[in-house]
This record gives sequence, C-alpha cells and structure tokens, in this order.
Amino acid sequence: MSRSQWEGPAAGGAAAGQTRIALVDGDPLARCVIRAELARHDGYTIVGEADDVRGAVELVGETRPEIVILELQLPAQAGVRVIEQLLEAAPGIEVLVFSLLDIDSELALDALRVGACGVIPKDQRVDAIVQALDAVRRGEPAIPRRLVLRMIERLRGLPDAGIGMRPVRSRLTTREWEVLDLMARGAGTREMAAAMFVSDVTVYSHVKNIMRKLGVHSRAEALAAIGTETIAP
Amino acid sequence: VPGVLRPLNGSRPRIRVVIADGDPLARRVLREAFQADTRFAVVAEASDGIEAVELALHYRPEVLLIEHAMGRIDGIEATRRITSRTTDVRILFFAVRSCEPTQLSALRAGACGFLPKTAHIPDVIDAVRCTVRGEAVVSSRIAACLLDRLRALPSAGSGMRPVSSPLTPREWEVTDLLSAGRTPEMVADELGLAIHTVHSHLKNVMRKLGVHTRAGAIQAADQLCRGELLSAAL
Repeated sequence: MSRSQWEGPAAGGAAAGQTRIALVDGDPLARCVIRAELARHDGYTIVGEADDVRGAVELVGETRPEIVILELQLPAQAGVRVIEQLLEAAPGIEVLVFSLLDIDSELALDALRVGACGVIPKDQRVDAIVQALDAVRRGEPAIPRRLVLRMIERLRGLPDAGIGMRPVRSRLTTREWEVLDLMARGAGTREMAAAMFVSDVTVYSHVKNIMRKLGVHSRAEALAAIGTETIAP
Repeated sequence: VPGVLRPLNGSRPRIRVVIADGDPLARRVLREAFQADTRFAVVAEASDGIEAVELALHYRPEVLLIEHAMGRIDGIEATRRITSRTTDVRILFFAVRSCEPTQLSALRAGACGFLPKTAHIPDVIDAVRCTVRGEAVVSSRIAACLLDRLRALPSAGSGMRPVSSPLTPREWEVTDLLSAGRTPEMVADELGLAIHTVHSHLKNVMRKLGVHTRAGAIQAADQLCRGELLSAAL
C-alpha cells in the first residue's frame, strides 16, 4: 500500500462536527492501533491512510484533511522534511507528529520549527493521541511539558533586545547595522559612541547615512523601516 | 549543603523547596501544604528578592517557588541572579496578575513555570513535581507564544545573519549560499569569484568557527543565527 482513501459517507462527507484525519505511518500495526483508538472516541473520521512520503503528499492534497497524524520515520525518507512537503501540498492543514522519537532530541524541536502543531512520542499511552487531537482542534499546540521546557531553553539563547539579525546582503554597511541594533536597544548617540569606541560625530554620520539609504527622516522611522529591510534581502 | 531529609517511611529523598513571597500569610499557606506532604520539605522562606537569591544559592533546593512582585528586587531579577550562578535550582513563578510579556520574560530569565496565585494547592504540588521531572508548567497560550517564537527563529541559508558576528560580510555570503545547499562551484559562479577564493573564504570561516568540515561550518553558522554561539564566538 502506498495510500488508501476511505470511501463512503463517513469519509467523503464526514458527518457534521467530525474532524477529518489522515493517518501517515509506515507501520501497519501502528495505523491499526491508532484507527482503533480513534474509533473509540466521537468526533474523528479517518479519511485515508498512507505509508510513505509520496502516498502521504497525494493523500493530503486530494482529501484535504484537517489534521494529519504523522510518523516521521517513513520508508526511504526520515526527518522533518515531510512536514514541509505536506504543508506545501495542502496549506492550512495541521500536522501532529506521533512518532518514535526522543522527546529531548533536536528532531522534536525541528518538527515544531518547520510547522508541526504538536509532537507526541510513541512511547506515550495511546490515548495521548486523542488528547493531543482534542487540543489541536481547540487551536492549541499539543506539546508535552518536557518539550515545552526544551523550547524555553532554546529561546533563552537569543539576544534580549535589539534587532539581532540582518540580511546577509544589504545596502547598509556592517557598522551601520551595528548602529541600528544599538538604536533598537534604546541607546542614544552618546551611548552608541561609547559602545562602538567612536566619537559622537561618527555616530551622527552613520545615522545620517542610514536615514538616507532607508529614505527616512528620523531615527524612529529608521527603526520602523528595518522590518521591511530585513524581509527583503 | 544541608543533609538530605528523608521521609519516615521510604528511601526516596524529599523534594526540597524554598518559598519566596512578601506576604507572610501566603508563605504560611504554602508551607503548611508542603509540610503536610511527606514528599516535600520546606527548607527556607524568603520575604524579598534579595533573600530569595541568598537562600536559593545557599540551600540549592530542587525547587524555588517565587512570587513575582517582591520587595528590593522582583522575581525576574532574582531569577536572573540565581540562574547566572547555578542551573540546579528549578524556579517556579507565582503571580497575582501576569501578562504574557511578563511570563515570557520570567521564562527567559530562567524560570521553568508560571502559576496564577489563585492556583489550588493540589495543582501547586503537581506543578512542583513536574518541574522536578524536567517539565515546564505553562498555560497553552504561553506554549503557543513559545511555538510562534521558535518558528520565527532564523536559520542559516535564509539570507539572514546576526548583526554582530566573527565572520566578514563576504564570509557570510559564502556561508549563507553553502547553507542553502549550493556547491562551492555554484557559490563562485553566483558571487562572481574564483573557486579558490571561495575555498579560502570557507577555510577562514571554518577556522573562526572552530570546525574542520564544510558540514561543521554550516551547522555552526546555523547556531550563530539562532543565537546559540554568540557568547562563545565573540
């Protein structure tokens, strides 16, 4: 099987209030267990199953489920790339990862980063999948508390204020970006001069050049313009 | 470190807790709740932020329960001071009212959870046990905020780089294209450089980032973009 689509009213029409689920897992036994678990709860209809990436992309594109339950370890391709492929094939779907993975692994964080709405490790009790689906249906992420802590730890590494990032290619020079970054942290001319080991006059001239290049007339406007500057490389 | 307290009946050591709250009544309610449970031992109580820092660093409890609005320094500043010295103490926040930015600041400062002051005692006890297991205690709204922020994190190969970094603009251009999956030949072509120039940029990037392979450079650049290497590399 690459994929199978369930026919009949339960699948196609999906009774009112039923959430349409696609099931993607290379292991027939796992699919069977999930299917049985969903059958014990109201509100969920499985519209089709797939056991590899190609089948999953086709299935999701054709059936447009609301939620995809996804094992990341698929034959011939493991990893989070499949999440991006599914989201490309059917934008707006929610991808819930239910996979053999270590909750502390980079893989779990990566899955969330590329767009999964939740990650449930397969060593959880099988009813965890229904709890997770309920959360997703309420519009909440389905992330175990342990993984939430991993997310917090990851975000602690970021700079506290300022813009932090800039485009690789830019009309502004490295020095000018440093000035903007300090400006975004609330620094005035004197503080910028001290931080950059230059004179006030040099800072003024950097600021003047930044405003000219960005086509603005005040520091506040320059900061507001960074958003567009950083989006357009 | 003071001796490990053991419950009368079993072998598992108690979870050591420090309570920091400006309100003596609130401290008493919590202390009595924990003392009624043999899994916990309240080893100290602090009435302001400075005391919280001192007691947390002295006793190194498994969990510090800390009220956000305290005298002298607030809970977030106290958390910063504690986590800059030790990562062993897990910090759980209490607040009467707390907006999302406050909660996110507390988490960034080093807290691993946030409870409303209206939380019931069994929930507080449950939350303390979760933090000991290495779990975060946050509302689903905060989890959603964290997820948004995680997704907004830049990665190498996206055309973005940190403002401050040990690499030159040219080295970033080369690294960014390599991270986006280009070969050195394609990079040379795209940037109008000779192939040996690309290789020498790459060699400098590897030296500066302390790695020995192109894959290592790509990974390190990605970490730079996520802010993980900033302190190490600068």
